[in-house]
Amino acid sequence: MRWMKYSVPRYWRSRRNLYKLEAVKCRSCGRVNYPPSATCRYCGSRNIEYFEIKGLAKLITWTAIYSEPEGFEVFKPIIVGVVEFPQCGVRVLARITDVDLSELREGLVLEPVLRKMSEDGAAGIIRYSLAFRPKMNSN
Amino acid sequence: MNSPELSVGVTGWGSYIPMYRLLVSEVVRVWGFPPETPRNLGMEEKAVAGPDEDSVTMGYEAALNALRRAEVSPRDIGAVWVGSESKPYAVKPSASIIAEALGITPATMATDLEFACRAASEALRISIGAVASGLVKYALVIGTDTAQAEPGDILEFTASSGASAFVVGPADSAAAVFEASYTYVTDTPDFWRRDGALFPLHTEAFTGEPAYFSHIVGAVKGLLEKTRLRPSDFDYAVFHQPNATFPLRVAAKLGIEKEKVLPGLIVSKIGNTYNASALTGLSRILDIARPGQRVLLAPFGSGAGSDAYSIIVTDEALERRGKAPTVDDYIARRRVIDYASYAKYRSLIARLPR
Ligand SMILES: [Zn+2]
Repeated sequence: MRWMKYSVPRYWRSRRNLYKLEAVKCRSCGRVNYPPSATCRYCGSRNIEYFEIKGLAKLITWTAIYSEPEGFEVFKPIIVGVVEFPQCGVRVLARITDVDLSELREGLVLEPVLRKMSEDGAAGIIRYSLAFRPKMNSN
Repeated sequence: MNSPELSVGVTGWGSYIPMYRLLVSEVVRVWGFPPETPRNLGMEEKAVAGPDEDSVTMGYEAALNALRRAEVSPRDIGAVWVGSESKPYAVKPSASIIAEALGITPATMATDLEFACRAASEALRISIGAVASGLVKYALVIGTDTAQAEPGDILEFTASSGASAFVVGPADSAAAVFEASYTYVTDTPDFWRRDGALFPLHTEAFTGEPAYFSHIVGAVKGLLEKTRLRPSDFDYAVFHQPNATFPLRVAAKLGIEKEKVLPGLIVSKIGNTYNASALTGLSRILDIARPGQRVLLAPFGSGAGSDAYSIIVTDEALERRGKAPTVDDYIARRRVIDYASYAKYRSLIARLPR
């Protein structure tokens, strides 16, 4: 175990939420709960349904992290932003990638991509997670 | 002729090319090559994966694009086969990570294959058998690589990063149908990487005649003999692209005009993406070809082997084309970086173990 600094069970349990964005819609009051919760945090109802958040998001605000946690060294500076999915109103805190800090502006249209989030040294696990990049041009 | 290929086709195709580009002039500048070296290889620039990318993340995006075009439920995919020689884990499949992220797990086969640059092509042949037999309804084949080159090696002009993926399924709803396929394999040590070695070695002159040329010619001639097709029956020809000159030379040997090779020849702009090399060429042809046109596909892998395929584009291709970014969209998404950034992104700078 001496090489393992990350909790493998924790990564394994959360992989569904790292690879996909899921939220919960309350069938009683109609509101969207993110992060997903088994009980609606607005009305307390347990009559809920899971759905996958898809499509484009826009950048609300962002910051750059220069003193990085262990395992994130090569990603420095790490750009983290709050992004909003206009259709369901969900706001997510996520890493922004394939972009220079100077290119960021409020309202920038982003799309989710799967990227390496961090590595547990050279021998431990690699954690993958959704990040956001500026929407690419497509004909 | 009752060949299994006829009941199988490409339901969806997709590619991914990372946005960073290293100009070959940077490799000349840093390592002191004669300026004509990249010119002789026909190279201008190559695609470089960012620091948060690897063959899993690139393979995932290519597969997502293929699924968008195929419009099949991830639940109907019965096999995920990943061809790569740059797996993030030496032991632990990339295929299971990609399958999980795409929502294909758990009722699926999933395995990584290795045969230098042609493992994904063999996966394509295996998937034809699996779909034709009814073992699976659809198979997902992914070729993805962050190709390694020792700093200062001539390979550094070409070794690049990219991925392509194909949903293989029944011919009746396919964007392109297989007509026939043929494989030609021998034990030829032209290029290898030993277990634990950081970079591959290659036998300079040996990589051409006895390896690339004789295997591709062997596979294509086998295909032509089997099908009684002639080189003139093909509208496009896509070969493995280790540089921009080999594909044109092998085409000349086979009596295929340059004009049929150029539309799928993208190595000078993105580099050699190894398992994605010929397959991204095919992906670009599917982006542009007209229904009824016949494509010759011949990937090559060191070690050595080649597969030849005859593929006919259907009108479904027109319908599916716009549902995901094209190869040209990815080629146009481009940011030039210097050698230092390239070295950092590809972990070529020595650091203490963490
Ligand atoms: Zn509620």
